[in-house]
Amino acid sequence: MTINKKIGLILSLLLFCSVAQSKEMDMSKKEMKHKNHDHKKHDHKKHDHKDQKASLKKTGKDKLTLKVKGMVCAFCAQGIEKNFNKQKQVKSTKVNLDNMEVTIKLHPGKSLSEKKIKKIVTDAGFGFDGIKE
Amino acid sequence: MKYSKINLALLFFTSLLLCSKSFSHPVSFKGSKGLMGYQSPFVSHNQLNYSFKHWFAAGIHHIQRPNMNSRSATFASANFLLKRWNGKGLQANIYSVIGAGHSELGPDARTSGFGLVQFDIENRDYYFLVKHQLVANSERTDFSQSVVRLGISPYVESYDGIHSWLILEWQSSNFFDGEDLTDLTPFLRIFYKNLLFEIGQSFDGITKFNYITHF
Repeated sequence: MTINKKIGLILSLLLFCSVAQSKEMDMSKKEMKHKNHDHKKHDHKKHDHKDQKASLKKTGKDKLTLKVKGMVCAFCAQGIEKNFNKQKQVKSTKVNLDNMEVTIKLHPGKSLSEKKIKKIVTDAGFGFDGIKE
Repeated sequence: MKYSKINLALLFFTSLLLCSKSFSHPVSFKGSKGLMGYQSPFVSHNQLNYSFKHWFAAGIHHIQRPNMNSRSATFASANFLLKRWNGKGLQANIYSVIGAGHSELGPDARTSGFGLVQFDIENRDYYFLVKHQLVANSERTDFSQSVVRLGISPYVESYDGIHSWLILEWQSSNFFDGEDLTDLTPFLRIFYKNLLFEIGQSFDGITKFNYITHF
């Protein structure tokens, strides 16, 4: 393969990545727009706010066990522990690779929204699979 | 299951005794700084990067031919996690790195580009990686390398323990001046918390050492 073809292949992959990421960001913008508009002005039969309520719900517990996807390597999972421990609401974080769960203990009286939890897990590079009941 | 893996591990170690590159984490978790390196007598590649997002990092690379002091290259790069699959007990990734800088790996100094594409997949027991990287300009390719790795974990450790992997790496490096090298190297990987290192010796007797840390 010539140099130009190799560079072209890499640039194509780069462009694909940018498009994929911008689509992800577009979805986030749409979610924000949906959250802030006046809900009385249109028919809600075609969609509901269940996901939005779940994302805004404060969990109200001082110990949460999160289900995390993709957490197969202790070296990579250091990031999830570190990112949770950075949060002022979090007292401690415990990672369990066997069950693919992360247990966070919160300081008394503090809470962490599910939306925030999901962001922390995603920023660490993993998939958030919900809070264990 | 564990017993059969121990047998495999013993077989692997035996082949290691009988006989003697490059892995990378181009992007890590958001806000992390990564330092990693691949060391062998014929090529050394070190990288420092910062992950702005879990899918994007900026890095600085230095590639050196230790047996030729004047032959080196330095690049700035943009590192991308193009796609990740987070499954239950499985993770797969596609990374791409693109960079530009100064290369003296060839017969003269040139402004050159650096490119890398990598795919890896792993669970807690097995690991597979394939990678291709190159340093090139409009007139020639100064360096290119292909790597395939297969790994097995002889035991599954808890999060806080010391982890080990046995990895077999096939790599083929090609330099502008025709000093090509293709070899097969068994590695022992050990990591604890955020510090990882690998040591191996190819079947041709070339000793190699790799490391990664993120903080």
